[in-house]
Amino acid sequence: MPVSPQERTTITEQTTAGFRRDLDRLSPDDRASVLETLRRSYELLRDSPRSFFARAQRPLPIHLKGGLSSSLYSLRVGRDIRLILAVDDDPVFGQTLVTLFRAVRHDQVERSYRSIAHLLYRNQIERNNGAR
Amino acid sequence: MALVSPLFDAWGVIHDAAKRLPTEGLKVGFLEALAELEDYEYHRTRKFPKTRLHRVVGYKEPVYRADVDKISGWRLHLQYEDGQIHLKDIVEGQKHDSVLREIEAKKIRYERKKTGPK
Repeated sequence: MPVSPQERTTITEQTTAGFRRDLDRLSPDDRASVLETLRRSYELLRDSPRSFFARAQRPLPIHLKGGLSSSLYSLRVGRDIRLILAVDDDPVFGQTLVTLFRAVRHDQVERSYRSIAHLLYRNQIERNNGAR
Repeated sequence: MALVSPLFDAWGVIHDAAKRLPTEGLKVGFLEALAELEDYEYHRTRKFPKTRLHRVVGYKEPVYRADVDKISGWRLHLQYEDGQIHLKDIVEGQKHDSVLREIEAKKIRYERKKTGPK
């Protein structure tokens, strides 16, 4: 039987090879900033999801076919770094999945976001929107 | 009698599977997958050894994928709606995500803070 909302107690972080590679290339200070931002973000997501989603951004609109909505966001880390991540509620396993795709410079965020959207959704993206 | 976690099939996925699955072995595998997905015990323990049920990343709606058969790649797509699991589609092998294959198995879990009187 499905898990009740009260039992959803866990945030599970998953990282892609791209994110881990990006993190390795950052300076020690920037890496520390990323980790601190993630720590704070997970606290917000756990304790005040509305506040978390108020801070999360969508660099480009993504319209999916079949009545589905994208859960792909970017998060700001200081002035220069942006994280690209998906935040997915997982009621069957009683968790929220956070999947970290990239950590990029702010001027690369749109291109990286678009690229990840295409990998994730492929031909599910509706035509005539900014993610194409 | 075992407790059952009902599956809903408003999209006719079972009918579709009966027509499209190419071998008797896959049809039996499909039945076994349905049996696992509606068995409360697997939901209670949150372990699905046959179907490897898992959340599909990237959708606000809780979309899941389950194996019909690991080798052939036939998969069931499901969605959790209003506290119930709905069959959505059956998909032939190898039409899956590539980006997500590289997700690190390592997971860091963050437990919710206990709240209560101080």
